[in-house]
Amino acid sequence: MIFDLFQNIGKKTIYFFFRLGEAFFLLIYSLFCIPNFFKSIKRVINQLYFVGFLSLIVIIVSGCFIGMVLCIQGYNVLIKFGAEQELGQMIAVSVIRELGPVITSLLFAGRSGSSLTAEIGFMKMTEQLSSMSIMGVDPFKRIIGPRFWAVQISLPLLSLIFIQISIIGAFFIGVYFLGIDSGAFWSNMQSVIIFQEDVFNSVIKTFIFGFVIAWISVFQGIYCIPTSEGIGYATTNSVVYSSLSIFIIDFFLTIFMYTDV
Amino acid sequence: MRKIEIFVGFFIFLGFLSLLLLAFKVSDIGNLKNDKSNYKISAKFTNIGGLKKRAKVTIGGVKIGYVTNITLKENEYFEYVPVVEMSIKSSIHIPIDSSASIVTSGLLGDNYISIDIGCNDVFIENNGIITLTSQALLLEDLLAKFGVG
Repeated sequence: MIFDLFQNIGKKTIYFFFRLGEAFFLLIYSLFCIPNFFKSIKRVINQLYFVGFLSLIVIIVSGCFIGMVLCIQGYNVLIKFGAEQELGQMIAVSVIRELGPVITSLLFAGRSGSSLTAEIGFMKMTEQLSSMSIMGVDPFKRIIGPRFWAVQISLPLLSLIFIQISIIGAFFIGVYFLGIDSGAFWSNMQSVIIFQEDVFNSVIKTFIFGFVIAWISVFQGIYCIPTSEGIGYATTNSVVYSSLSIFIIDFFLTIFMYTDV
Repeated sequence: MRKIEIFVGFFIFLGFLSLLLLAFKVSDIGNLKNDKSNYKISAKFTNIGGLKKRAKVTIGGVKIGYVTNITLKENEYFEYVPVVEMSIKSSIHIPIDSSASIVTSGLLGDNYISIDIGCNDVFIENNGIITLTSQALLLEDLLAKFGVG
């Protein structure tokens, strides 16, 4: 009986490392084999359109409303201390350092990550990937590589757009509805946000998140079970694993970047 | 294909526009750009309290510069003395008998330096020193005076 337990644990561990090894092979292969640079640029731009531009609506609307909600709730708390002029600082610090990268990455993983997984899994199920390799076309260079780079490029840009839109949304609600002085809003914010520490670190976070989302989504797509049930399972997995990894990595990054360790 | 390229170009342009807006409107890069027309002075204090780098230096409440560095220097009696280096706008001339003090904005706010202008005709040069200083008002000292009795 005890041997069955050991066998179970051993089998799961070996399977985990096997999948990890497959994922690393996939990563190296799809990142570093772009011999013909200019032909691949066209495919990357195509993917940038689907992955980046079509997510703009989601990002802009959520950014605007999150900024406005933060403004109202922050005002309700700060007015008890007579510190409502510090609202700009509070919103800028929370959005630039934490909410911008994390919420953009979650929305992005839910929208583009799941669609990437579904698309690649469907190509595997209808045997498009294997027929491509039979014809001599490398499916990694043609399908996987451009999608990987498109995610890596568009996530930092989307996060910056999210941050800026939420600060502007908060500005409008704060100054025109809640009566905060507009000069105090911007100048308090400028005195507390240091470009090298806050904005730059936020962009670094989004680079790392983009890498993780792209890797997990593409991996789940390629190594899924090629049935319709398997594709559904792989899509859910990619969103769940991406989201959990984002939270865990964000915690460690915050410790490294914002405390005096 | 051309439509797709236009949309992607617009998306990337929007991203870089947000980066520029964040850099110049939201963060502090826009304020530090005219550093070339500033000159440096320093002042010794006995206690700087909660003074931090980039704290403002004011005359009568108007900001004329900021604190660049805070260090400890050893004087001839082998005591450590805090030295605060400041960067002041070139258009502001400070007489050599002015005094600098560290004040708190509000009750529990940040510390900054306030300079009271003297009446001498000679002004402080680049790398000059303000000789008259008074230390920061520490809450603990006040409480000690009232509490011990």
